[in-house]
Amino acid sequence: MLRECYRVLRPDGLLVVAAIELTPNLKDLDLHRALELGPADVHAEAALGEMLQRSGFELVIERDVTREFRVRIRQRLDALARNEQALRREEGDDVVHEEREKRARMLKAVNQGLLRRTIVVGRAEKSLMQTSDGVT
Amino acid sequence: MHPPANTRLFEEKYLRFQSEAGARFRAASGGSVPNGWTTVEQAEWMAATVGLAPGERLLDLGAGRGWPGELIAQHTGAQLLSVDVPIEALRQGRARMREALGARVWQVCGDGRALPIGDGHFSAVCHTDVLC
Ligand SMILES: C[S@@+](CC[C@H](N)C(=O)[O-])C[C@H]1O[C@@H](n2cnc3c(N)ncnc32)[C@H](O)[C@@H]1O
Repeated sequence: MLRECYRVLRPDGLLVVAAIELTPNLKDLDLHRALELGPADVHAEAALGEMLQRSGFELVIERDVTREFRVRIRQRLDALARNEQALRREEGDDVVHEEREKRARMLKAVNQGLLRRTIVVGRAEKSLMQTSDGVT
Repeated sequence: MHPPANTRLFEEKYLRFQSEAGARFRAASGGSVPNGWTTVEQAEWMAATVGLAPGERLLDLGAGRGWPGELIAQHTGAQLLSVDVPIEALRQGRARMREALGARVWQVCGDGRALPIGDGHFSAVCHTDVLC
């Protein structure tokens, strides 16, 4: 999808990506635990900034927003606890249980330094590509 | 060609917490469009960082109900194309986005891996919590 973003951007157009990702350079056991605790769609292939660069972007800014992410997960767990009775009645026990488990696992992974949330900004460098195609 | 986008989990997610208790839960979870992880401060930061001029085009890819593209377009005056697969997500965001942006917003159901859009069309793209 990052390649498609690159393609549809004008030269020097900006891409902003936010993603939950594994903390870089985790050792075997931590990596295993992170994948176990993290959401199924955690971005695990490579660090986000690196992925952007591989897709042709120049990395402009990288911002770690893990602290805010942790607050949001807590807020969600609190809201769930406060509305639990009504949610069980109207949404069902399974939905409430699954939501709590998923968020609790996420929070644990963040607290243990296994997951982080990052916002990166990349610039679509297109003039270089034109040079290599012999356009200039 | 890509196999169809596997967004079934998301499709189910958008059907959850639609009851009255669900709405209270979502409202109490924080943020203007609960379920997303991008805070209002972060969306404002994105708007300031992309620096779009009024009328320029912004793509929000994997937009769900339309956040944070909506706020970025609102703050910059940009035109917004909001793309996602589950129609239910687009439907849930429609009235709110129309109210915020009027005729400056288009919602399109589509796969972000193969956009039916020409090269170089947008001045900025945002893509939040989609990569997997
Ligand atoms: C966690 S939600 C994030 C929604 C919104 N961007 C936000 O920040 O609140 C991830 C979204 O990515 C969408 N998505 C996943 N794969 C996609 C694809 N191939 N094309 C378009 N959207 C996709 C899902 O349907 C889902 O709505």
